[in-house]
Formats: sequence, C-alpha cells, structure tokens
Amino acid sequence: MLIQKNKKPRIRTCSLHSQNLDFGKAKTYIPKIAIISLTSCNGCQFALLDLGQRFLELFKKIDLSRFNLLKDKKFDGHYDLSFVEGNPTSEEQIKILKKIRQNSNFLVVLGNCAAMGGIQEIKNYHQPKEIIRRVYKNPNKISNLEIKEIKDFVLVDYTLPTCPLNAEEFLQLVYDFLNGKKFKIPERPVCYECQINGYECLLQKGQICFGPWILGGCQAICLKNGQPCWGCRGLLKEVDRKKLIETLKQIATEAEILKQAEVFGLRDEIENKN
Amino acid sequence: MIKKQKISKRVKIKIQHISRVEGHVGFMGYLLNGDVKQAKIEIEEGARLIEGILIGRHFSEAPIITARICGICPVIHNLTSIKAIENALEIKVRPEVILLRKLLLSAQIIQSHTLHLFFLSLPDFLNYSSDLSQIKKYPAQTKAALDIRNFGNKIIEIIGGRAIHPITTEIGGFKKYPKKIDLLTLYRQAEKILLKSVDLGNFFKKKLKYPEFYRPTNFASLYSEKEYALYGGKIKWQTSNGKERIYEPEIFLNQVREFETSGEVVKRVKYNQQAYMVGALARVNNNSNQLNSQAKKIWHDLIKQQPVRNTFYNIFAQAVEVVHFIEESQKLLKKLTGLKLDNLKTQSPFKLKSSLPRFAKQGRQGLAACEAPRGTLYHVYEIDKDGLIKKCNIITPTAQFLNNIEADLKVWLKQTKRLSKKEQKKKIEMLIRAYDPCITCATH
Repeated sequence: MLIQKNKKPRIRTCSLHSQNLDFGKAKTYIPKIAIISLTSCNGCQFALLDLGQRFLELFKKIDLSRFNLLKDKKFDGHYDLSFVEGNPTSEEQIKILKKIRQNSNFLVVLGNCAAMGGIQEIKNYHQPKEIIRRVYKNPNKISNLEIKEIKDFVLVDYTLPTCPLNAEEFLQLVYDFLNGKKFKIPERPVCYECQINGYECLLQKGQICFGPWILGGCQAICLKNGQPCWGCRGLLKEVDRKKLIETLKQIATEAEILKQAEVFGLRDEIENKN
Repeated sequence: MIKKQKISKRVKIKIQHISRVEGHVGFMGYLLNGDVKQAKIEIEEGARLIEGILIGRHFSEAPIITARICGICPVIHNLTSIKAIENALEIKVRPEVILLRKLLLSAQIIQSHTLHLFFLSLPDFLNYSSDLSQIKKYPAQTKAALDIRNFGNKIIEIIGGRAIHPITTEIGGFKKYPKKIDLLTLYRQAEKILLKSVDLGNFFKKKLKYPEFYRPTNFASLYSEKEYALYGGKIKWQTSNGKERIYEPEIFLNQVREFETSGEVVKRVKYNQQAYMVGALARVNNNSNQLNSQAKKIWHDLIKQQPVRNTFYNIFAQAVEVVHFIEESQKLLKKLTGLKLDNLKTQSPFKLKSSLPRFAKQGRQGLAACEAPRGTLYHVYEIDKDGLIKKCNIITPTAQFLNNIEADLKVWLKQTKRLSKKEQKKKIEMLIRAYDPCITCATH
C-alpha cells in the first residue's frame, strides 16, 4: 500500500527517477487527478497550460478534480493520481501536503522546487535568520521554515524535475498512467542530448557546467541557448561526486562550484547531505 | 464566533483559497450595521526571501533567480533585473537588443493578459464556476484565445529560448540571437493573430456586462513621449481628481513607502501615504492617445469619458492592450526582419569577468522600471567592487495595488450587501480577479 500512516516518510538519497513507475492496469474508468501548488513561482502549472489544446484534450480522459488555477470547486476525496508543485513554507502547507498524500494512490512531484528545493532553498546554505532580516524589519511572525523537498515530508512515487517542468514528460506520464504502462525517464546525462544536437560544449570552453552528471530529458535546452547546465534536473543515479568536483576544479574553486550548485538546490545532492 | 447583539448586527465574510488567481490568497471582511468595518486581502503564500538570498551573490545570477519570482511573468522580472544592473554598471546596449527586449515584453503582456482575460476572469462574467464548462460552451473563442496566447509564447520561445523562464537574455544583450527566418515566420503569423485579437477585443466590448462601480483613485504608469511606454520612461501620476504629474522613477520611488504589518509576507506600498492603481487600466487611462490604431478604436468605441474609474474595466483595458501589443509586435518584427542580426552573434556585447573592474570600481546603484502585465515593476540593486550584490529591492505591481483593491472592496461590500452571502462572495472574488493579482510576485 502506498499510503503510510504513522511511519517516518521514506527518505531517498536522490535520483528518485532511477526506477520505473509501474501504473499497473490500464484505466477503464475516468480517473480523478489533482494538481496542487505549494510555494513556488507556479511556473510548472503554466507550463501545463502552455500545452494549450493538448492539455484541454486530456480532460476527455481524466477528471481534473482539483486544480485551483482553473476551477472554483475542489473535490476533497480520493485521487487516483496527484501532482504537487512547489514546496511547503508554512505549517499549513505541510498539513495540506500530508493530506494529499493520504488521499492519493500515486503522488508525483512537478518541477525543481518540489524535487530539489528550488531557488528558495538557497537560504538553507547561508544563515536563514540573517536573510529574513534583510527583507523584513520585523520578521518574528513570518514563517521561515528550512526549505525541504517533498520527499522529506511524504512518500513520493515519482519525480518530474526541471525548472520549469518539461510538460512533454508530464503528458507522457499521464498517458502511460491511463494505459497502464510503466513510466521512466531514461538514465542519460544532459550531454547525451547536447551532443546529438551538436550544441557547443561550454564545459570545454571553461564554464561551470554540470551537464555530464545531470539527468537528461530536457533536450539540453539551456545549452542550445548558450547557458551552461546548472543541474535543475538533479544528479544521475550513479554519480561519483568526488570526480564531479575534481573535474570542475580545473575550471573553478570548490567554493565557486558549490555556490553555482545552490541556485537550483543541487548543492545538497552533491554534498550528499540528504 | 461572533455573537449577535441586540442592537448591532455584525456580518462576517471570509473566503479562503480564492481560485483562478495566480498564487494563494483569501479575503476577510465584516460589516457592522451595514457599515463596512473591514475589507482585507489575506495572503496565504509563503515568503521565499528572494531579495535576501540575492545578497552576496554575483550580479549575473540575479536575472536568472529573479525570473523565478513568477511563472506567468518571468520575462519582465528577468529583463527589469538586467536593465537595473546595466544601469548600475553603466552598460549601454545596442539598439537591436532594445528592439528584441521590447518584443519580449510585448509578448509577455499578450500571453499573460490572454490567460487572465479568458481563463481566469471571464468565467465570472459568463457565470461559470470552472473554465472547463466555459470552454465547452465557447469553443471558437477558446481556440482564438489559445492561438493568441501561443503567439505570445512563440515569440518568447524564439527570442528567449523558452516560453517560461527565458534563457538567452543576459546583461549586455543576448547569449544567442534569433534566426531571421524565425522572425519572418512570426511576422507572417502576426496579421492573422491580430484579426483574432480584434475579434476577441470586440467580444469584450460588446458581449460583457461590466458591473457598475465608481471610486476615484490615483493611477500610476510609465510614460514616454515617443510611444506607449513599456521598457522604460518616466512615471505618470494621475490623481483621483484628474491632475497629472510626471516624475523621474528615482524621484517617484523616494516618496514610495513599503509598509510592513506584523506577520504579513507582502510589504504593501503607498505613494505619499496614498493608495494607487497600476496595471492595464492605469496605463490606458494615462496613455490611451498612444495606443496603436486598432486598439485605440476598440477602446474609444466603448469609452467616451476618461479616466475610467470603474475597476472592472481593467478587464477591458487588458483586452485592448492585447490588440495594441500584437500591433506593436508586428511593427517590431518588421523592423527586426530588416536588420542583420547574424552579425551580432560574433560581437559578444559584454564579457563579465574581463569588463567588470572597468565598470565597477566602487559600489554602484542601479534602478530600472518596466511595465509588467500587472503594472510598473521596479528592481533596485547595489553592486560592490567584486560584482557581488550588496542591496536589492524589488517592488512588484501587486504589492502596489493591494491597498487599492481593499479600498475598492470597502465600497463594493457596501454596494453588494443586499445580495445573498453566496452571491456576495462571488462578487468579491470577481473584483479581486479583475485586478489580476499575482500573489507569488507580491510575496517573492
């Protein structure tokens, strides 16, 4: 059973995406699907809307029971499949998250904030108490929880990473769910797609690029546009973290490398502090 | 619980988790003997402390991090941040770069407005509780809205590299410039999209019944002598009794105060102790004579007297702006397709590491103000000699107009007090949505 009560949530080190997500049988009924947003930029929800007609077509096959962005009424019962975007920044949001888990057969997290902490996790690496004082004169009553990923609160069945979400992977996952197939993101580095497409290697040009160690599937969209990979999709399953640092040290100091890894919450994965 | 007293009658209205709004927001109000005592927007979003986390980081990261403030208007945060840093470091960019940036901003407004108009706000006017039923009833309009939105997204994708959170934009210019053939394709599409947007504009002109509402307030927006201001300019301030003043953004910001109330994540903004409105209605009220021709026609077909003091017309102003910015995109694309952008690729405009000491010997401050879909956005940075950010302040449109929504709501609560509670709640949500608030921006 996927719902685990009174049990410490299973914490996985990283790369949840390394395993298959087996959806069992094809759905002969119209399944209930929920999309929930915690603290984030909401960009992953908009990535779904950007699918346009293809997103609307989904509604013939699923019952979108809860999606605050488009619907007034929310269904509060049992969901066959839930998606969570963002991460909790208040006690109330933690409660919402736990309730969603209890009510869901499968729970999939969307995007970099939910999967790795996102930009708001930067504060974890510095002094959060000091940081909040830079923003508010009276920060006492403002919630300043340590930023954690969804998997630190509840069991997560699968992770769709990236900032923002790669909506193609979302569609694929939902259709595999409907057809009872197994879903898996191929375990290949960003370099794989970067090289097939013949994009310029920025690591060789002397820029900090985490591409060789990061899970691909993003079509190396950043490299395509001249931006080195800062690892928003997370480390591959088997990564030699020491070698990662050693390799990049030819370009920059360890402090610089780790600071760069902070932007998308990659630093704790590299330091393996999870 | 509130006790019913013999003499005084107290009515409490609480709405949690308002749907069809960007972010998490609620409402709390009460009336005493029919008088409105409170009308308060309650922010349910957590703080991400973006201004705090930027301090001590290299300035080149700021545009990438601040884009993530908002998933619906990342481009404007990204470009305002870039512009503020360029101002701090006294970097001049090429005219082609400015054209491309203006096109990006136009596209941002097209896609953001269309989403709000059609998917977030329209169900209120047509009395649907969900987009899904509205979509079934209006398939042709839905398709048109999606096509217009896709056009905006496509522009951002081609110039910015991705529809959400642009990649190519950087301090000094672009990491990668668009191909001429792609710009030409966009230009050819623009004509058809413009027709669709005019249809949609007329739909919002003819088919919608805007509720009656009146409250004089102040309007603030950018203003430029040359054009309908978007990428910069001065601040035009139109008072509640119709007087106009023009300020430099720096001077205007001197009089702007951010107020902290205990426990609230958003710092609400007042100018000289006054609430004011920013966004589509403020812009059109201030600068309607600079609208492009077709947009101007739609606006004046319906609006005979300016300034419009009915907040619900913010929706109509957005519809008019969609037409305006599609016309604007067409003009910009025409200019850009006539230029040689391929040459720019080799002239990397700004090499971060090598140029830095020349630019920033000591700490420097830079400010930029641009028009976001929801109103004027300010980014201010101070950068030290090592290129690290020392100070950062971001003032978002929603933080600016929150006080104004509440002032409107006080009037609106009184006006709707005879309705059933359910109906009244709907009306309250409708007014809040008319502003198109972006709560993730407001909290950042």
